[in-house]
Amino acid sequence: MNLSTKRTSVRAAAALAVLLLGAAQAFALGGKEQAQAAPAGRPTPANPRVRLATTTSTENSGLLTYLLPFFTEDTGYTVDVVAVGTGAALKLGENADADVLLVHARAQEDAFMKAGHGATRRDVMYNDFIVVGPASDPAGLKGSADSAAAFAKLAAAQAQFVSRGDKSGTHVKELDIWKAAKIVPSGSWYKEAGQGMEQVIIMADGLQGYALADRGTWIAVKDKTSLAVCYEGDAGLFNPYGVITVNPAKNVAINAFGAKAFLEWLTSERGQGLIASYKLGGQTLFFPNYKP
Amino acid sequence: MDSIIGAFALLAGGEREVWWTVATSLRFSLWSTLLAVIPGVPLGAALFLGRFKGKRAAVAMVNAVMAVPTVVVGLFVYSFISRSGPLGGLGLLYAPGGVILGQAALAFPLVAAMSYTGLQKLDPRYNETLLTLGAGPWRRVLAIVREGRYVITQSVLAAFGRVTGEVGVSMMLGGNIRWYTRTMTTTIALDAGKGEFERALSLGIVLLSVALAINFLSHLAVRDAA
Amino acid sequence: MRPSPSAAFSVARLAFRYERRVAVSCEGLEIGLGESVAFVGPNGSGKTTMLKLLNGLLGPFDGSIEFLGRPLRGNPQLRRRSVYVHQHPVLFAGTVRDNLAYALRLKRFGREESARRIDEAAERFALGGLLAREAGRLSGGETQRVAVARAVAAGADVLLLDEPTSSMDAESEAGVRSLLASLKGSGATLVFSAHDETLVRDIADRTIGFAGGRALDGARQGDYR
Repeated sequence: MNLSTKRTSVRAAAALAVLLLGAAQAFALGGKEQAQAAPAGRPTPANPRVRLATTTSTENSGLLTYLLPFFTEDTGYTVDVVAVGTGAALKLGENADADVLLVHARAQEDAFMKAGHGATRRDVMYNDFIVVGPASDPAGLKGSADSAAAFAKLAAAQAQFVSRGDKSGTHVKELDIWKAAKIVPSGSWYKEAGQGMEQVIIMADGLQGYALADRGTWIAVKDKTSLAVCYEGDAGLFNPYGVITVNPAKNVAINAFGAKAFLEWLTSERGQGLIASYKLGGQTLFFPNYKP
Repeated sequence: MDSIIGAFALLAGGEREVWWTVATSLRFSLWSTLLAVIPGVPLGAALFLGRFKGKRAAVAMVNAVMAVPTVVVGLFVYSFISRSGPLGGLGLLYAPGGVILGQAALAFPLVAAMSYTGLQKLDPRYNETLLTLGAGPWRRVLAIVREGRYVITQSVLAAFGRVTGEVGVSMMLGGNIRWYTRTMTTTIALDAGKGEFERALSLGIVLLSVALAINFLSHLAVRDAA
Repeated sequence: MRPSPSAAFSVARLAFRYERRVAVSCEGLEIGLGESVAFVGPNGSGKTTMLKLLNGLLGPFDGSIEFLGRPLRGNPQLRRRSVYVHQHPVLFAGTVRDNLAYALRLKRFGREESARRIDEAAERFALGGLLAREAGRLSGGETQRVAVARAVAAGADVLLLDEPTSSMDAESEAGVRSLLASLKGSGATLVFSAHDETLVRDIADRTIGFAGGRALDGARQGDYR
């Protein structure tokens, strides 16, 4: 009822809100324009946003940040990257909440295709898994016969081990190795983090423990840690990535053209070449392996 | 300590992506707060003014919903705006609209509950005077909101603070997409995980300033109400 | 028994509970239109609660309260002819004129009619010098006067007044007393609670005693006429 107020707080809050909103809107839109600036001379697709659900390793190794501007330049599509674990990415595909997937868990990918959730699947690239740990390698992993033997040493030494614990491709691989070693890991030395790859490496560094990592993420993050590669090179640590377009019959909202464009581009000579050319600290992170 | 200095350097250096993230956060929070206030304040006022059966249960309900963790709110909203959900056709998931909707769902019960609690501090004679002079329900809601504008300002500020600082809904419904739905909190979550503490900290400093500004305004509101 | 149409209030077997305890009860009570009735009794005996019940501000209650021959329960629009005035009335922020105008707007009077009624009230309640003043800066007596004027200007002719002269200086008290006397002279129905014997003697046609939450049967406790 007070019509003649001289008080300040309500007005200050309202004025600030309007001011902030105006500035934020202008700035955010400006930023988007910059991000999406399409080169001239090529028609823009009708639905230019493609949603890619992928594993944290492709996003955080810097690969996608490197590749996507080229893809946008070539095709006009902008890719919205939702970086989650492979398990979650496949689930998003199943719910039709993603248009295309870039994942690394072959058995689950095959099951996904078999269930009819996917339209096309192609091999894209591979790298390998490694076991990282303290540079002094207290559990003595170096020189193990294979990855299962290395894991057995970890369990025997009760060495601190940080597991992804998030159904990601890396986690699935880790569980496979434990199975091969005939060990059910448990106890205070075994920590299920439920986090992305970098977080897990950072945690392992903090605990001076071990972790299974994909080489791409490791190279991207290793300078921030005191850890070192303690075991590598086993054929069982091969880490192949696949690209899957989600079955467009699942939902009308799926950007089927965009998804197909991404799949085609990634497996084209240009895409494959760019993957091979991506280096971090002089090292190649991913090796293209699409065979038509 | 080095990372604190680095954080200030990053802010002062005006790195475009950092400031874009700040702007995006504020944009989402302001829209979602607005979206939550429009039904939240009248609901709080109606709960305060109303004399109806089940009022206690309704108040308890609003208070209970307020305590639901952000990720649960996120999951709930996800099930609606997923392409396989009832609102899937709107294309809100992994888009700004989804974050704003989720944050509004988070803030709405907070606004309603805090408005209700705040209005109870008002002089009860105020409402009785409106009633006895024959004001209808809408008039009374309007008048009580105007009379209680300081406590309502506080509830709105608290809601804004909550949505600005939350990470669960933004991550789950926005997907942390660069140049699209990446906010201060999702960046912090991402960067802290990557070990990029400087950038995480620089945004943390902005969040802290936002919280301080909100507290200052809230303090003004208390002072003005007195 | 049908209440006579000339009854303003007719109460039967009323019991109002507050936190599961009977706060006010009344076997039967009738107040005629144009009558002036004083509620007397110690503090906390239920006078204020009864006044609010009669105005429909409190509920739910057992028994019945009829206003102008119709049950109060479920007829909120009935409230329009009666107004309850607090012991320390609340004026809205703004000027005295704003207060009158707001009350008139609530009763859906048009702009011209409102202006006419405000002028009329200003003259009748001697508000001439007050209209432009901030409502929050008035004395207790002036506030009481404006609250009554606000009610009457908006068309109420049944006034429920809670301790209208409490904690006032002698001059203000005399002013309010003469105001009530003039209202009574104009045929308004006045129901008020009071400790002040002079006020009761000058204004009330009869008194109703309250003790421990009970209105004493509506029996005549005394007649000052």
